[in-house]
Amino acid sequence: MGEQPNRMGSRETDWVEQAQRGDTGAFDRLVRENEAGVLRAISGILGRSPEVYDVYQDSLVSAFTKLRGFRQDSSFSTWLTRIAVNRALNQRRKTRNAREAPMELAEHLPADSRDAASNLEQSELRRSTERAMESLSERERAVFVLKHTHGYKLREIGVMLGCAEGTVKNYLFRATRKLRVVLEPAYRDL
Amino acid sequence: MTMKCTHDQDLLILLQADELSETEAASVRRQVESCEACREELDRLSHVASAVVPPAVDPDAVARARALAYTRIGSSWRVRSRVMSGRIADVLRRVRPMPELALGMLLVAVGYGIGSRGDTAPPPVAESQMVDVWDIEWDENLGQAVVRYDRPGTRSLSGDLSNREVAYLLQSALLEGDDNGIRNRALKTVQALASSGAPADDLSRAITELVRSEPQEALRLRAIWAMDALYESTELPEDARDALLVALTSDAGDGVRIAALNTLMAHQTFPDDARTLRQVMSSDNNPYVRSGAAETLQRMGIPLEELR
Repeated sequence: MGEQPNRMGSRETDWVEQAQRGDTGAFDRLVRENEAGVLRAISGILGRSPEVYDVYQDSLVSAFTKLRGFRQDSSFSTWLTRIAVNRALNQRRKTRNAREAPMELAEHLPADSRDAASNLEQSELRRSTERAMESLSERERAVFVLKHTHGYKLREIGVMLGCAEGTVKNYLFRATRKLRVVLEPAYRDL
Repeated sequence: MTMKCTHDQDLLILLQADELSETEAASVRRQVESCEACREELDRLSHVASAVVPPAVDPDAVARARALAYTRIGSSWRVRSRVMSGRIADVLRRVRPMPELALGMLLVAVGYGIGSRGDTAPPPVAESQMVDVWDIEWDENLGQAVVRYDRPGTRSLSGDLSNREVAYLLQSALLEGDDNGIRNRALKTVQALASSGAPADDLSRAITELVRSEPQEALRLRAIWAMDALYESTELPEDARDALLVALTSDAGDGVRIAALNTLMAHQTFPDDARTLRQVMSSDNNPYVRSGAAETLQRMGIPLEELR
């Protein structure tokens, strides 16, 4: 994926311009075109929580009110995701102590590993992974999710989070190392 | 990575994340080829990257969130219009029972007022739409929609769906989240005017959104009737079909499921619908819905014996 300012070509440009002139239909097309990605980013940060939908709602309203200032120097997807990510991070800070497990262990753990481990071990591994994700800072979590579930470049993530690319790189290193340690047992015997 | 390997692990993380230049990546790949520990480490890093995924979201909750956002956006538009007309106090009077909303609208209005200084961008809606809709309804005698405004001296507007402004105002009325009455009258009007013009995309989407996420069962039902009338002689858009299939399988209202089934039956079916219809035929608690699903499957060419 990554930053492709004109990945939808003139179609997206047209929609943005129409939406900036007040065409709600064009805004709706932009929203739906990018909905899945934006929701992945929000739920990646907030986890399985009803707050995901509140943040999504607020992000759309915020995007619409800011739309006139959007100069199209990034893709609409990046711009909207940036709004959503920042809102999700704010929400997470507010409800830090009440959140549920933020991530799920993917179904795509190696099949051998799934087969080899007992249910007890799997449960333990899941809990360990959840704990590891919980131990990541908001920004480490956001960088990891945006990198590995969206494929954004570190440069773009830096723009979204308002920090330098080198800082983003460090967040990625830290998040990867923490998760790497936790997931080590699952792959040790492969 | 074993103790024997002294290679830079960060470079492996960046390689796995596709963040190295071509030259750097080629160099690290050569290193990986010659180092077993690096190969193992790269393999584990790729597992780490794919082992954690965001949880799935509920499509119905997403649709509700989107609809609520659009309702709020619709409100802010009207506030903007009022600011341009110098009538902000009137807006606040109208929302007096809802102080939080009033405050929110005031902030949006003030923000807009500040932001619009020196801004030459065109207003978001036409001048004729810069007054709040007071009401919209179907006038049987005129055979048209009639829009009446709350500003004294403002003439009412009438027209059918070929009138862009009427279509826009109908859409706005449908998205008016806090007024069931106006949404009901707007849906009746759309149903009555359905044959007067090709449905505008925005209007169609607003109705589809109601089918998906309107909390009031009566309004969901009326939205399906309006959709049925709008697309009586043309193909249903994909979004509308999806919304009807979801309503058919999961709406709590028997009437809504029956209306969804009837509307789907009246239009072309697709092979993918068969699975949903089989599910409805075997599990819906309403016998009419079950038999309707079976009838539709038969029409699709599935032999009756296969359905038993």
